[in-house]
This record gives sequence, structure tokens and C-alpha cells, in this order.
Amino acid sequence: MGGDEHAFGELFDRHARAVYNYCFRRTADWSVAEDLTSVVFLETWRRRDQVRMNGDSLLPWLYGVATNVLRNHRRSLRRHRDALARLPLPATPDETEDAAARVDAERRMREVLESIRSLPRRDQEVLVLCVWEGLGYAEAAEALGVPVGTVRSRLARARERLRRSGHTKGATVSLLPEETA
Amino acid sequence: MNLPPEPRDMPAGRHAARRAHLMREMTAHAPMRRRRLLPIGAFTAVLAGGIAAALVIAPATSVGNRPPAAGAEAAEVFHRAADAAEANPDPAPRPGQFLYVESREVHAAAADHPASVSRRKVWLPADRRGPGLLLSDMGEGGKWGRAWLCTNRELSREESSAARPPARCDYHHPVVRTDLPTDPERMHAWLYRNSRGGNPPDVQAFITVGDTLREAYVPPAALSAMFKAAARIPGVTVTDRALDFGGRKGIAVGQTWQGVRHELIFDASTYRLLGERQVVDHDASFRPTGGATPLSPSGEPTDLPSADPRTPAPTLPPDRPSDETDLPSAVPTGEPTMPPSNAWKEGTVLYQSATVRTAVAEEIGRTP
Repeated sequence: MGGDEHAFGELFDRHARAVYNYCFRRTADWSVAEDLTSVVFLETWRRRDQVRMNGDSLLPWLYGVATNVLRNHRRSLRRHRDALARLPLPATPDETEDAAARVDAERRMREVLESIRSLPRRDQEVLVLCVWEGLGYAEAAEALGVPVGTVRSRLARARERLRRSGHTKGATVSLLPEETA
Repeated sequence: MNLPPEPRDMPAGRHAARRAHLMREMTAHAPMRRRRLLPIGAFTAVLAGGIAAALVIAPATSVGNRPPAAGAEAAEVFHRAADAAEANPDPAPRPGQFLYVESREVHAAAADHPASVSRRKVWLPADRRGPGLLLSDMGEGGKWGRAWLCTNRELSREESSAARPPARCDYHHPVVRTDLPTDPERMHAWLYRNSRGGNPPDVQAFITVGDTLREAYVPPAALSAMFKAAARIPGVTVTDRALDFGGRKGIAVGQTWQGVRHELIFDASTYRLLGERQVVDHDASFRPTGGATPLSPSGEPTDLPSADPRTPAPTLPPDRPSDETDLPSAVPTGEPTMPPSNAWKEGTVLYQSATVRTAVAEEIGRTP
């Protein structure tokens, strides 16, 4: 196995959890999120000539690949379906308590997504990356391939729209901190 | 807006399995033996679902080619269930009381593994204030685990399983659904309007029926309206009138999409809802559409003001800079139900939840 492969394995170990949870928060489906995580890394491998495989600095890039994959997940899954078909099935069923908690989390996540679905998709992407995933403006800009100012204006617009549509009660206030930068 | 659930690791062993798979894919130069993933029909249905979703964007006014509603047999079961709901209502929990639901869940009977069974008890605050409580055993005869339920903040692992309820924790989910429409027509519109999950609307609407009824108190008139509305969802059929469902004889009413059949199970004699199942089903004949907003008799889209206070009235797409040409996200943009691998045998029960008992509890954690 070459150095690239080795580095790539480390990249997976370091960031698969972040990608997995990002995919879940955009889809409210754990098993789809798992498949999409594989797709994100397969895509990243395919495009490895475009990046240097090292360190934390790759996380925004991975979020960017994931965001692209999520924009048309059906096409993404189709493109990699032969590879996904070679995945072994889980050897044992999930631990039952864990599975029950996952079903609950999916239901909750569907409700959360419902509350932001009135936003344009690009505003949703910025909101999720900056607020839920905790990326900085510069990182989100790198992930989305847009100028930092665009991230800022989309986030401001998303906040304003949620505020107007009455989603600022309770927990949302803490979800939508005023811009401090 | 509630908080997203806390991040989780992949299920046990999956990180390693995914990693190993990735390493093999990276190093495999020769394409491996191709495996057919989906029957052609199912694949076409995926595309059809995509097209139906795309149609939502334009305010659709055509009612032509709408698929028939649920099969006549399924509709009859739903109407009997609607009658039973009004004839034998459950007691309603009052503020300060708890809805108690005890159920038995079966998970993932894999090809060479027996299904695992767990018991589950929840106490949910009728007024949504303060925590809910989930007790679940780790399988037959296993020990019970505790989890406090709140959606207004994340709990640490210690807080979640502590003996005492955590502070500043509100369950917040609707428990007593006095917010739901009681008219079948409005309920039908409500189901389609509140169904966002990435599946075609006809599929997501049926899933929403189960999501809404699970571990909630739905007043009899709304429950009746829910069943009557479900009777109008296309692709819903009866597959089994004598299902052994945890020792009770059940009627399975469900809809198959992407290799999985979502079923609601009704008692074969009383027509009470007993629970739900997800079963592997390779039948790909159902072609959901449901892209159009259901029309009212006047021919206007039935965009009634939402009866759910949590849901904002639909908003118009914003004015956007010209570089943003993507579709408004009111289209289901989430994920479709993914087909299970062909390694799953037809009829495999992926998930089953049977309600054992529903009651009103005065005190959290105490079985009524």
C-alpha cells in the first residue's frame, strides 16, 4: 500500500465521524448518511490530485465534497453503487438500545429539517455548516467555494428569514447567534 | 426550531467495515464482479420519484393521471380503524400527567442472525414541559437502560443515564396532539404538507402517518381523520389479514418503496392500531407521484394555514442573486429510502414495534 493510501486511511479515521454526522443532519437518515460517508471519501479519493492529503486543513474540503454529494445524492449514490454493493453487510444487528435511540434521532432530525426547509438550499447549506457544524466563515467559504462575504450575507439572510417565519423562539435564539466577526 | 440530535458514532463495527471497504476500493484496479443492485423497475421508479418531486416547484394544477388512492381493501381497513378510534377512545393525559407507552421492538433479523427483541417504556409529559423518560432493555432478559429525553439542549452521557432528571430539560415534542385537523380532507393536506424526508410525497405522507401516531396521544376525532386520510394515499395495500403480531392477530396495511414495505398493523378484530413494521419487499410495481399539492374541490391548491403551530406558513421563494439558480428547497431534498442490499431476503423484518400498552401516568418513571 502506497503512502497516499496510508494517508487516506488516516484521513478517514480522523474525519469520517464529522462527515457522517453532517450527512445525517442534512438527510435525517443514519443508513443513508453511512453510505454517503463512503461516497464522500470515494469521491475525495477520485479527486486526490486536487488536494494534499494531510491534516485538519482538509476538513473544509471534505465538507465541500459532502455538500456537493448531498446536492444530488441520488446521482452520487448511483455513480458509486457498484462500489457500495461490495460492502459487507453488518455482521451483527445493532445493539437494540442504540437502534431505538437512532430511530428517535431520525424523527427529531426530520422535525429540525422541517423548520429550515423554507430557506433556499444554499442558505440552508451555510446555516448548517456555520451553526450546526461550527465552521468559521472562512472555512465555510472554502467548503462551498464562494467568497467569505457571500457566506456572511447568506447567513444573515437565513437568520432574518427564520426570524420572520417565527422560528426564533426558545432554542433557536442560541442557534442563531448574532454575527460577531 | 429544535436542536439537531447529538452527533453519534457509526454503529458498532461500521467504521472499521467502511474503512476496510474504502481501502479495498482504492487499491482494486480491476473492476470486480458486477452485482445487480436493483431490479430495473425499482430503478425506473427512483427516476420517476425525482421527476414527481421536480413537479412540485411549479404550482401544479393538473389532476390528470393521479394514481388511484389506497386499494379498496386497505381503505376498508382504514375506515374500520377510524370507526374504532371514535368508538373506543384512549384516556387523554392532562397537563402535569404523562403519556405512558410500552412497546416491544424487533430489530434487523439478518440472514443468519435471529432478530433481537427489546422492550421499551416511555413517559412523555403531556404539557411538553420537563423531561421525558425512556427505559429500554438490552434484549430479552437484559438489563434496563435509562435515557432522559429533552430537545431543548444536549445531555451528556452521564446526565442522560443519571437516576435523577437533568435540570433545564424539556421534552418539548408534541405529546397530546390537539393541534391536528379533525377533518379527513384537511388531514390529507396536512400529511402532505408536513411530510419532508426525501421520499416522493405519496411515500413520505404514509411514513408521516406512522411518525405522527407513534408514542403520541391523538384525540379520537383527529385519529379517525388520520385513518380516513391514509385511506386516500396511493399504493397502500393489505398484504396479510392474519399476521401473528406479538401473539395478536393483525392486519398489515402498507406501502412498498425502494425494496422496503412500511406497514401499519391493525388488530384483526378490534381494528385498533397495534404497531408498525418495515419489511423487505422486492415488489417494485408502485409508482408514486403525489408531486402535486392536493387540490381542494374548488380546484385551488389546498394550502390551508398550518394547523401545527410549530410549522410556519409556506413562504415564497426569496429574491435571490442571479448566481443562485437552484431549486427552492421546498422540494423534498432529503434522502430517499435506500433499498436494502439484495442479500436481504424478501420478507425479512427490518424493524417491528408493537405497542403493548398505552396509559396515563401520574408520575414519571412509575408504571401506571
